[in-house]
Amino acid sequence: MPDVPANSGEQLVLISHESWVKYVRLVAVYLLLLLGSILFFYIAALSAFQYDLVTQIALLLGVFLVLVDHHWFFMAIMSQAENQVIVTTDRVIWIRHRIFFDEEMHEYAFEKMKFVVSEKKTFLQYLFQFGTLKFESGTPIPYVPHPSAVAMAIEQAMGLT
Amino acid sequence: MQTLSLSDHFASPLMTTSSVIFLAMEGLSLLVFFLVIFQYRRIVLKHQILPRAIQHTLEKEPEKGVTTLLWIYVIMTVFVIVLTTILFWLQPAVF
Repeated sequence: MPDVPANSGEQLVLISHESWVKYVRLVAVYLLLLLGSILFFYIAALSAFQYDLVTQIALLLGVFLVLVDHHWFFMAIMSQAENQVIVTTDRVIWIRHRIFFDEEMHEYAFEKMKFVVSEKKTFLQYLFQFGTLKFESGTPIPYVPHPSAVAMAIEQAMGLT
Repeated sequence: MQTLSLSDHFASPLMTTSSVIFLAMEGLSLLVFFLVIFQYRRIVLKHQILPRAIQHTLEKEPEKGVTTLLWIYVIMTVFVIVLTTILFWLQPAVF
């Protein structure tokens, strides 16, 4: 939770979630692992009615892969769904989560900033309207939807425009 | 089509071991499921009070710890557990 003194006069300008594009890679890995588990079930099916070691190992590996894939996917999706970029009249706050692993909060105070840059470099970034926000110092913020509009809101809050 | 009965799953050391491993995996899966839900709800509730922590004049919104994503996770988990149980428990019947 950001440390805000009472009556500081800080106002919220906008709250933005990260672009949906970041989920594409997760879905691809999820489907790949799902295919792997289907392969194990197929191997088990080939040796069915024999109750042998191969059937049982293949079945257990298939179940294991399905369960791991399922929980990993939802943990990743739910973590990333809660990532936020918050712009206030005093600063930009970027919150990142990974359930069970870490929680990061980056603060970019306007009093230490002179400019903000929005970047859209690739074709996909132009097509799906997302990009990176860069500041003088600190970690760049990726997957920001409509980064130019967000950069403009930040500049207005900084009093640059 | 022939199906396995409960006793068939514990008929030999191989089947017993296999069944115990399966039950342990399902149990562990349920444990992870509840831990993820607990952790996710904590994050969601924290994010709901975050704007008010920044701007004190904002009105307090009603707490909403259960999101659509959480419901999808619950439904999908039930589906996955039922599916894997059917596949394992009735193994010759479904293949």
